[in-house]
Amino acid sequence: MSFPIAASGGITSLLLCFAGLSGLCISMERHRRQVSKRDRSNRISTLYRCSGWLLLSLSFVASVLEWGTSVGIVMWLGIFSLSTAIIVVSLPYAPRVFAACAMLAVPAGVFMIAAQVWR
Amino acid sequence: MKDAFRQSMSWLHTWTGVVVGAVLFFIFLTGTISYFDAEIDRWMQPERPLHAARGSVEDSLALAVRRLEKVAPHAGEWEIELPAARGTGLSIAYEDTEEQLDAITGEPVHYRSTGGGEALYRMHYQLHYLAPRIACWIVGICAMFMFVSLVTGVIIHKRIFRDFFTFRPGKGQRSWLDAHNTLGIIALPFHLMITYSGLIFFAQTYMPLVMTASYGSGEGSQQTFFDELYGRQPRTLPAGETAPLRPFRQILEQVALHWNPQDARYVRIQYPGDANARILLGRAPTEPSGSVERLLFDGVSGQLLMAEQPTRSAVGATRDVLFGLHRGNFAGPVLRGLYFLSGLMGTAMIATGMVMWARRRNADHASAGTTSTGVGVVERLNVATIAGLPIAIAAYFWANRIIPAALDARAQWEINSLFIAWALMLLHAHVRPRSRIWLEQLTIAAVLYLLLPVLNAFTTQRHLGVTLLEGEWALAAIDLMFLAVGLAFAGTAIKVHRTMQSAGRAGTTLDDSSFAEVRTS
Repeated sequence: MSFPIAASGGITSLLLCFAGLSGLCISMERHRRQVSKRDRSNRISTLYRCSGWLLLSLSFVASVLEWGTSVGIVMWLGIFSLSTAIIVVSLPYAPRVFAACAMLAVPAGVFMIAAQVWR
Repeated sequence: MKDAFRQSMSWLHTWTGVVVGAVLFFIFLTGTISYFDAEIDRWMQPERPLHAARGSVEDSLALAVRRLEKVAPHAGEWEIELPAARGTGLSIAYEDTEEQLDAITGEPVHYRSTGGGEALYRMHYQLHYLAPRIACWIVGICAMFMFVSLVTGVIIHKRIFRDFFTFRPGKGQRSWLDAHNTLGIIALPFHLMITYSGLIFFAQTYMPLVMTASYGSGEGSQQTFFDELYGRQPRTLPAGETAPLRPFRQILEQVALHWNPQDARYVRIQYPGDANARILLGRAPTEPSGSVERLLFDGVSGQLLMAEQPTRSAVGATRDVLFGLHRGNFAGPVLRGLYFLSGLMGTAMIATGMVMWARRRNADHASAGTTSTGVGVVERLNVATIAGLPIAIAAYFWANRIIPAALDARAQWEINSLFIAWALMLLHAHVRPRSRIWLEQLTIAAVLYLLLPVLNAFTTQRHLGVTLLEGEWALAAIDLMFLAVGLAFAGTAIKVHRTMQSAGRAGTTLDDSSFAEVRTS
């Protein structure tokens, strides 16, 4: 049964994609204010944006590593849609929960792709 | 200049949407559901064994051939469909007859005849009750409108990146626009791919002159074109001398040089028992470009005659990838789920667009103190589509459990039930007061979907109590999906009810209500 393996690669990519998109989302002042009352400086914003793009690229890599180029690309686009949908819905209704999940997704995703590469 | 361009695009976007919205909603919803066609087939034939049994390809072929030799020794062609991962069973076909076989004993089994997921799949491009050619043109014109809507939608969306994550619920028209934009943007690659490839499927019908320019006109030239397009081999004729078929074990040994023989999905045997017998084996695609991978053998000598390459030319490869992506046959369970989700987003995007059109016109008329019959008609049609079609699809599943298994043409009556239910909803939307139709149809949808698992429990042994305990997830997921859809409709109905009450108190109409999202099944 190949299902558990597919799920683990998918989860790595999903975590990284969610983390990356969350970073890009929070790098925008409007959304940062939804999550936290304190207004952060622009330097933090740049940090969020850069790490966001980096994590997003890693998620793409994870997907291609798991399924090969052609299926990996299709899979990643699906994961991208799913991650964005989760963010768009959770941000207005449960901003704190969203922020907590995003914080957890970063180390979890990085750990899992590291495990995948050194497997 | 730039603004004038945007305005004209906005006009085009609005009107293309409103003209064909209902048909597009139908195409998207039925198409999305049919990504799970094999699972729906299983649900709709509860007589099948709970756990789909699956022997090795060798055993299955031996069983199928044994049965075929018994019932159709002189048929010109045998077709065998092998059991596959998604729970499809072993079946044989000869001379317009189809039979399902027990995957272990090879004995014929009799399941109720049903439209299954296949009927929904066909419906999404052939519609129903229409000549295929007419349906093909209707679907094509609507798909073209969809494509125009997608492109103009991107043009008139002013801040794609800045508003990428923006959804502001509870703000009336603003929320609807946010939802519409977000649903469109986050699955945009899917929407563009599915619409464009959908158009390409019937490109020869829509643009026949392109073919005529190179191949001339007339039947024969068309045949040449399609033979070249699909890489068809010239047909061999039967020799008229008898010769035994090569044992499948030896054929499968040769298959193993190209791909895993256990991946074989179907086998076609031409002229069985003749000296010119041909055996064609096809496997399930594992990536989008591999939509066709077939091996053709001489059925007597066992010699490999043709190994079809998935890629024949750049144009052919592009076409294969587009079709492969559209059908998603290569997708495993996870990707299939994502396909389904993207399809739902597309369906919901169409629905939000349709609702927004009516709301904006209503608001305009309310502020001007006028009324409009046109807007009323569109609004009623919207309800009958967005809530009415899911009701009709629920009726299809209800019919599957209620219509007696032995009734003649029961599969056709299942489909008739779908369209009768839809017609009733259309009628309902036009005779009831405009302020009540949303609430009433959403309630009907909620009740029908929530009761489907209950009906299933009363009529079959394949209900949640069995499927969950036995870990038969594919079947359980369908019942759970009914529950989820039912709850979504119930939630939306409650929200609409509350808005109506508060609107009633404030002395306004429902027009400016804000039910945050009308979810579709």
